[in-house]
Amino acid sequence: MSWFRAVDARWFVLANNAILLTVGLALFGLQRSSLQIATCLAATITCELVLARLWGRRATVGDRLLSSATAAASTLVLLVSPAWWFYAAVGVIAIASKYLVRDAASKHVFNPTNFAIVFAIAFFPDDLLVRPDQFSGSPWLMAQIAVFGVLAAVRGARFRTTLGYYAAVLGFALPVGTLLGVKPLWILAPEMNTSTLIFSCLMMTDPRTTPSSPRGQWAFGFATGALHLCLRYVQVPYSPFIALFVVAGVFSVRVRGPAATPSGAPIQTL
Amino acid sequence: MPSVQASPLAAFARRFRGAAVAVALLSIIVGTKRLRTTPERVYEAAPPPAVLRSAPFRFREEARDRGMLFEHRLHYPNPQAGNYLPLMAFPPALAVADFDGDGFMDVYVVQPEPGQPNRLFRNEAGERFTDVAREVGLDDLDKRAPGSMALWADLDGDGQLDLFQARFGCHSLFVRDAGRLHFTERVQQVGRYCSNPKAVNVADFNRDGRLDLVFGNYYPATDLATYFPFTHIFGTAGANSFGGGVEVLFGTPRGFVRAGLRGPRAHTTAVGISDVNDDGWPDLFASNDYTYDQMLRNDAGRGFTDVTEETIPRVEHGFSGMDAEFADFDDSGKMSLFVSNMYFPPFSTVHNLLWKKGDDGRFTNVADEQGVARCGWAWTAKFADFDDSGDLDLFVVNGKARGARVKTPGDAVKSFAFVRNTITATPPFLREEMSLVPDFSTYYLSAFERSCLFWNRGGHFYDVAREAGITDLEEGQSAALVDFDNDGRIDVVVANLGGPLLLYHNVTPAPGHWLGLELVGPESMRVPYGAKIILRRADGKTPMRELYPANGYRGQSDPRIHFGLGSATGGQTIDVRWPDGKAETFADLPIDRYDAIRYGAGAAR
Repeated sequence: MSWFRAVDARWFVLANNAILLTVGLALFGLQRSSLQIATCLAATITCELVLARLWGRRATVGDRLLSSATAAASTLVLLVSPAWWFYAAVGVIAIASKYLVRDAASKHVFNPTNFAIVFAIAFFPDDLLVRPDQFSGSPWLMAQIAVFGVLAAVRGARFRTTLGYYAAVLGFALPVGTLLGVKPLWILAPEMNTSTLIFSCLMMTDPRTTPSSPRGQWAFGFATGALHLCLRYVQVPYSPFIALFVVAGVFSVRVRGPAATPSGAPIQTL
Repeated sequence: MPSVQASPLAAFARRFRGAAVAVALLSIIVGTKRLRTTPERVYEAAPPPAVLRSAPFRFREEARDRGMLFEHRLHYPNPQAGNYLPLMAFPPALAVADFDGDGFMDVYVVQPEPGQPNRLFRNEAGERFTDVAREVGLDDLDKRAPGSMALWADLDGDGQLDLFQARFGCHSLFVRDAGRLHFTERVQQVGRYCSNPKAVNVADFNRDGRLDLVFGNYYPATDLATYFPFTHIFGTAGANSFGGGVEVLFGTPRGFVRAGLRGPRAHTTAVGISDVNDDGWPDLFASNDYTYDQMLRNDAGRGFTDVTEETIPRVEHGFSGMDAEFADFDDSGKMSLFVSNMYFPPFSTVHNLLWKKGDDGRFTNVADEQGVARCGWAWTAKFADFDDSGDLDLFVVNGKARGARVKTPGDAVKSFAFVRNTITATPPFLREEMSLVPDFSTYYLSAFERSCLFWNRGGHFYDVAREAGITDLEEGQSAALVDFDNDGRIDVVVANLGGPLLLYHNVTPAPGHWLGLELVGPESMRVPYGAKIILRRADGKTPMRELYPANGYRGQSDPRIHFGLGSATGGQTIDVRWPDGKAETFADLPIDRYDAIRYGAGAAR
């Protein structure tokens, strides 16, 4: 499995989202125009290269391109908006957050795409559409996300965050379901949605913004899942993204230590 | 900007920077109630005070006072619907025409529940309405299947208005009996066509002198008694082709035959007709739920080609199109298109669309800049010049459903939006289990919304419904325009889901002058659907109307053409292009009254 150790985990994220985007456009009537895709990629990559230069980052151009393309693809897959400028703006915000919001260990605090989603909820709510059903009909795509998600989580050594998340969801499904007056399956079923799978397998496994210790990963994942269900109980949309945002902010107060990636490979950044 | 050696204070700040940013953003979200779902952020207009002060409209709700007693009953044939009846019930429908030829417009109301009578409110000289459905044979039309929509049109070409009754099932034509005011069912005329439409419209698509029908079939052609939409309608937004789609039936001497139209089987909610490319052949626009709307070009009567990609930007479709209303709202001489959508933030921020046609034939959405992008969960939209100022205004009804135990706005404490969103997010193979879904009786969804009355004030629209006297908070589903008292001020009939019929009498003080036209076509087509009328105004503008009164969602309006003239006086001149292509000019037309414009009586152009 030497090839596996040589692959940057971000490639799995990028590949997954690029396939989703392509298949979505070809088969699922995904609403993304050429202009939106082009401006998002251009703005995100340009922002990354400019800020990396300004901040004196030593990473290679290739690494910067991979990082920014991954963020752009995630943005294009997860968010829906008719506005032509929206994806470009959100992509820029995602990249800018990596440079502007850093913790005591000089690591960025929030997963860039996650930050951009919460930012968009706060500042562009009328341009952001809720479309959880844009892929949800296809079990094939769910399987695809699960496969790429496992690869990325294992490669980034963050699969415990995903497990912690699902442990919380499973554990809280019964009490939250009881409080809402519905069966636990009602709570669990949306977790199989493509957006939530991307979230749990590919976003919250970002090594830069999650704890490196196994115990920390479990705690991080569990806290995100628990908060997500609490927010669902009070009917807050985008609850997984807001939960991850809050938990990442709280955990950033503690110094999280270096990213634990096998063989010192470049860290994953969604 | 490389990092520098930090002081203790800077280190402290750096350590808490992430948490501080999180708190700041969340404060904005919470403070601005961005994600508040219960109670829902009901749409409420907020025009500037100066606009409100100068709003000209006044309406009075007078249905009960004038004898229009009708209450829509919730019905859906599948017993599984259970507590979800308010969400799934078949909506009411309206059809306006002067069926008895007395010069006053009558109103037909469809009650979808089998066994419950439809109503035909005959207009008694603009004073009162009397239900005459039973005595003319148009009351109990839905013994075999729930009624969907009715349409007044001369479909057998005998010069008399017939009533087409679309059903969730097989459809029927009720033709006027010779020599008496009574109607008899003719099933075979419709070619035994069965489908599940939410929309029916009429035009002469192949220009053979006979009217054709177009159906917007929301559900697939299946037995709805065993069909539970929740398991089918969500999923793969944008590519949902599990509906019934658009179907065209050509009129022939032997009845109606299918035109063989091919297209995606979308959940079509409304069908608008207009000569979009100005080639003299009526084109189609289908508003669809869960997928892209469709623009269908009429290929000289031989069939239709989907030209959506070439005409409307793909990225802006709302996937919840509820209406298709064509109008020359800016007096540009080109028909624009209004498509209502669902706006109930934070779960649905899909705006209404106002597609303005450009010189290159492509449409651009100008709803936001015109001020008509938001109106709750919107359904029927109708353009009319309500104050006869010369500018078209816009009336939109809205609202979705309330549970059986939600009687007043005070009871509305549990929004169904989140549950609906959860269903949307659930993979289809898990939705089959009905017991997953909570009891709807204590929930509501986009209920208690006020209809919108957008005043066209110098080219920008402002919602002044509340100030104009649009007082109800019912779940408005369909609306039809009717000048029931022939005073030139357009009134509005509104049919509500699970609620009463409303008649908004337009009593706007000091309206402008107006031009009223009753177009009379050739013998084979008494009401010349598709006629294009252009008014030559003194200021050089040439506002246009097209005679498609059944455009939009479930409401066939007054078929007479109405132009507000403002302060203009004196004889008016119009150009008419009849459906067969014949062009005539009618000059020196009197104002402030309705006059007949007869085919062949004008000056040829």
